[in-house]
Amino acid sequence: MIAYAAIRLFRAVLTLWLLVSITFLVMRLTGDPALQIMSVEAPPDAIAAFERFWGLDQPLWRQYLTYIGGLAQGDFGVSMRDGQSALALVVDRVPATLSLTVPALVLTLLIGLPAGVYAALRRNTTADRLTMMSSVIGYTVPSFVLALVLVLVFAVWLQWLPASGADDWRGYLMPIVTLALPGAAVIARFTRSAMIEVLNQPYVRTATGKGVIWRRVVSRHVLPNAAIPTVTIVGFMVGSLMAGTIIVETVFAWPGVGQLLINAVGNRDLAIVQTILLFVGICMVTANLAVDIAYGWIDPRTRRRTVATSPR
Amino acid sequence: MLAPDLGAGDAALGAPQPTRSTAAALLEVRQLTVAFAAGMRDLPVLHGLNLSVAPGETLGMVGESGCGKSVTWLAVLRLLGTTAKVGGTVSFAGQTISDWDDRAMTAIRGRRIAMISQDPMSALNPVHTIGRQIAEVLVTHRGASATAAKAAAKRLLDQVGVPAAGSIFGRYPHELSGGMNQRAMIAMCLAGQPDLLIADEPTTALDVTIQAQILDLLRQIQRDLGMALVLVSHDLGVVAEVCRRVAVMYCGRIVEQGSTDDIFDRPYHPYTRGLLAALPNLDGPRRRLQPIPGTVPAPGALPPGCPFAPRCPGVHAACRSSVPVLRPVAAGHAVACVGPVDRTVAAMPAAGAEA
Repeated sequence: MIAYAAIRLFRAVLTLWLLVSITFLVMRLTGDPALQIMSVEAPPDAIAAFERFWGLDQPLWRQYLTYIGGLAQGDFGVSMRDGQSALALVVDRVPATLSLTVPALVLTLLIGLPAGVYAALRRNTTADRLTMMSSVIGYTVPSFVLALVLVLVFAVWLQWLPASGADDWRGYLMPIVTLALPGAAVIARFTRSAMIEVLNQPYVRTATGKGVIWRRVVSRHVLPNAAIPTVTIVGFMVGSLMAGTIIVETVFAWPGVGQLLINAVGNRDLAIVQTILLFVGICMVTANLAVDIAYGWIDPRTRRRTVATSPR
Repeated sequence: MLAPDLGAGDAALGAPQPTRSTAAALLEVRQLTVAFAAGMRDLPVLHGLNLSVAPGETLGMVGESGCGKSVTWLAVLRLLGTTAKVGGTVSFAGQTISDWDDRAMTAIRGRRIAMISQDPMSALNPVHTIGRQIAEVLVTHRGASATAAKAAAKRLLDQVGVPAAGSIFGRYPHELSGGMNQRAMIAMCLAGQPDLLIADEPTTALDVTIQAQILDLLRQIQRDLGMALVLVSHDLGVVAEVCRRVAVMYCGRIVEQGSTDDIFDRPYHPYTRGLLAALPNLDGPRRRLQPIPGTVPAPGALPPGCPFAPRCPGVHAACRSSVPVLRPVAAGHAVACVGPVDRTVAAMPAAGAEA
């Protein structure tokens, strides 16, 4: 078990290292922070001084080693724009983002799971088709369109909710709904197929043949088995929520990490971009770990496999 | 070995509940039809099946894959799902259960009629322990407490010959062999103390060496507990070992039924004779196995008359015009063939059933 945990940890670090390295390369090769931050008309000697100050005149490999070396010692760097600590800037924004993503994930599951189960149990009926049609609409409409439609209806026409900002609880509603709906649509679809797959399994017939009432067959025999593939999708959901939050924070002028990331990328402000991506990466790795733990908890077969694959 | 000491202190096990008279059927199936919805039209797989099972009797149902032998019993228990259209009547212990709703059927399923399925690996739920799946029957039908159910489930596992029943109780199906799982499945079926046990190809998915053990177990259970046993199989040899009476099915109909002796020694229907000729003869002289020529027609493409006519060596004009009905040829022996009895026998002189 300790060996298994060590392998998991090593893989997580490797993932984060790849993430950091690729971002570094892409950020350095696609634009000059000096020109972005100081403007194109800045005098050449000022730009040269800026580049010398931030080490941008060094060869790429040396910049990389300096950066990775700092990171390994817990130094996330400072913003090239105002010299503030990147970590402090990001951490400052995290609560605002989490206050959208966590409720959004909960809402995603609260809508998606029951809708999928309902559609599967009523498969090939009108109710099923309507549910699946809403699901298709839910994940094909881009979230910025959905956000703008919500703003138009609830902020402009009905004037029930503020169009942007996080002043009171009403400001949270539209961003959370915008974040949650596409995810809920995907979850509903996956839950439905997972359920139908399980409903056709011989052991469901066995359970019914034992004289167990249908509701109990569903809750005890179908749901736990359908949960196995569904959990995987919920793990992926964490990643797409992070992507969604960038758009949603921009549309609703939300003072969160997503907005910070958009600005930092525009400025090629490497330290901030990297810190945010590390934060997202850690979220993803943690979500994957949570999915694996959930597997073992739900499915006894993976419990055995985990033990079998870990070297002694 | 199998003492009638199943459930938690339930002495009324042993024989099934006495019925009004010994001659009355436990299960009576009349004009049972099943059709599956396939696109625009329905695909009929059972064409008005009549069948009865007496209390405590052993009946074998044989036929090739897809002839409707499993579907018959899934239809009786109404486990076929919404795509199947089921017609006809099913009476059990004097009550017409085919009229009952799904909720009422739960009192029959697992309690009065239990079904062992073909592949124990897929028929057991992978996320629950063996013991829990057995105990569920006891809780459902006996209102047993969790502790009582656990103790009774361990006793049941012991009775079906599972070694170290106490430790197997907490294991999952994937941790056990196919034979062990099938024993657990049988224990699960016995937990409800049913009057009728249906074993649907119980040994098909198992190793040959395990097959004999499972058949022995079924025979022993039937003898000790006195319940009626229906053994569904494509293997006449398996059926002959366990059953006193045999029904032969072809394309969704029973084409011949009678005592096991009748079927093996005096088979009438050319299909039955063909099945016997295709059976290796272990005792007699070595001979070539004779496969039945041709293939089984698809359910949607049955010929107008007797479905066996295209493959029958003794076919004549009358066979192609109407579907023959079961008619008695001797006491307890019926055949669905229009040919005269002696002509049918003469039609396949090469068939080795007389040996």
